[in-house]
Amino acid sequence: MSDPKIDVRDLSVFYGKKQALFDVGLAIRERRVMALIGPSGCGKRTFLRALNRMHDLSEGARVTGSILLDGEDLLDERVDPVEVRRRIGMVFQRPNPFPKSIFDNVAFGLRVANLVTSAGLSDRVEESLRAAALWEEVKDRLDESAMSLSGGQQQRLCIARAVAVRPEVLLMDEPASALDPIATEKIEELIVELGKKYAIVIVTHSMSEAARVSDHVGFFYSGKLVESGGTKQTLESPKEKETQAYLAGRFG
Amino acid sequence: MTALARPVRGKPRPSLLGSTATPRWERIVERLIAAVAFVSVAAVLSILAFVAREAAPLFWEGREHLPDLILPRQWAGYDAPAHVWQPVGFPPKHDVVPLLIGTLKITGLAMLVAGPIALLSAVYIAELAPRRVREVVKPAIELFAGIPSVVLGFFSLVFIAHFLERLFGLTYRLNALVAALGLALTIIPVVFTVSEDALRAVPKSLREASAALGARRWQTTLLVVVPAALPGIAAAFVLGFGRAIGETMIVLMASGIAPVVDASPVSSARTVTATIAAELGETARGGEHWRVLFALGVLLFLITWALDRMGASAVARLRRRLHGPEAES
Ligand SMILES: Nc1ncnc2c1ncn2[C@@H]1O[C@H](COP(=O)(O)OP(=O)(O)OP(=O)(O)O)[C@@H](O)[C@H]1O
Repeated sequence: MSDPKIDVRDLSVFYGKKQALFDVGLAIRERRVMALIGPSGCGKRTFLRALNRMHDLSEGARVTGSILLDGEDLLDERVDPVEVRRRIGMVFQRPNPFPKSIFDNVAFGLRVANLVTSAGLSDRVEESLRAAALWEEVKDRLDESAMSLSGGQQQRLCIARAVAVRPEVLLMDEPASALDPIATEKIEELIVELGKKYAIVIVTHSMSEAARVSDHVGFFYSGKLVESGGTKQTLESPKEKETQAYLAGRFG
Repeated sequence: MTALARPVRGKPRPSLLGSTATPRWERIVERLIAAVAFVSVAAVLSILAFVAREAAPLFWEGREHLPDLILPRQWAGYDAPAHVWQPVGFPPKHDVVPLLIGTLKITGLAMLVAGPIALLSAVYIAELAPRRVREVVKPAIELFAGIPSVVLGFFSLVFIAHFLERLFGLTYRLNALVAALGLALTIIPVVFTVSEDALRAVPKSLREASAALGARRWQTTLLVVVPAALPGIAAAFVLGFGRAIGETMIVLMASGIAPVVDASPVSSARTVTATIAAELGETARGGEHWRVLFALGVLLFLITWALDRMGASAVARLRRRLHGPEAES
């Protein structure tokens, strides 16, 4: 097997004195979707936010261990977290478009990084909106405020915004949990589609969603990674008893 | 988190039959609150009515003087038609233009000084300052709003005037600039507090989205937080302006109080408020002077009221912008 895109080793995260994640090791592969599952408060989001150094933004959070992105440790103190976030994009649980136009939302990441000339900008915006399956719905109203979109459209806009900077990895934190079933279905189709191009890590509470979109799953339980492996195999015949109990619906 | 649809555990439901007592209490309290609100609205309206009633006869008694309120006139002893406010001259001259110019000059200068300072401090405190600094600086600035304006007036009269005189060698020790700087001290806390609140009201999720897209901290501040808070910042400026226009004591003490018509920031000036404060006590009740002063009062009332409405609607716009159209309250 080829080297993983992201190789996480001995990752621990502390919130003040409280440890929320314990020595997690996990490999995330290129062009695969990895779903993180487990009961509430088990540390899935904490793990996800370590991958693009979001913990740097909150006072009191401390991260130890190493996260190798193509072999380079992105937790190294010489690494610029802004650079990491340009290579590892993120989509949040609740759609959080900026109160700006649809166009400006998608162009945001390109503009702050000065990535493309203003001539190339509208091409990239169109390309990203197409990639997020939103282009047809918004192509005539790119100047309208993003707040005028429905929740599902807003979330696809956030996905377009994230892929516009052409990241190498996409992190998604329960991206469909605030949406209705139809919007959810669209997002899931999109994840499968994007999974052919990027490494994707998605946190989800829904086992059926994990089954539909992911190639691998990692099961977290009280801050530890209990089990990980191919989705079908892990969901159908889990090895560890915590995983078995969780999948049987005994806690969570 | 999937907090949705989790059954509420805890207390058993009370019987529906026992629940009739509460609504009556609520109704009484609601009525009381409505009555109090009504009384205060009525009080404001009756003040306006009283002030307007004193001013109104201007329009029928001595109507021939009406144009002199705003148009220049060739007075005896003047080379050219002029705007003159000289209520105790002979004949009395009640042209309000010099007062409006004084007011605009002083408030404009004060906003020019206070606006940028207040806004930059708000951005710094809301976005960049470590929490310890914020905990000290914010209450300190807000405390400023509580300083009686007579104290600030005194401060302007003595220290600011002295300082400016030394610095620029001015002809008039007390002038529009001195008053404006004193006034700025009262506007800064208003503009600061309201803008800071607006900046802090920008949800964390937007800052996170910005950071996750690879924006640096200053880019997040400049491109996301400040634009999102813009209606609130506009409200802050409008409210600050309203505060400045209504302020009396500082301008009375520090402006030099001469009704001069020119554009220089360092000539003396006289504002509407200072004029009313200084002259109303010494004028004959029901005379033309008296009525003009009341008309000025009505004007001030309407201006501050309009500014206040503008501020409130800007804040409502901010809320809609940040939380979508349904977030009306
Ligand atoms: N900012 C924070 N400060 C302190 N503790 C936190 C913080 N964020 C999370 N925690 C704690 O860390 C633990 C793991 O939280 P995390 O959000 O990673 O769990 P999760 O599996 O994503 O849960 P959920 O599925 O409910 O979102 C929890 O016990 C939580 O209370």
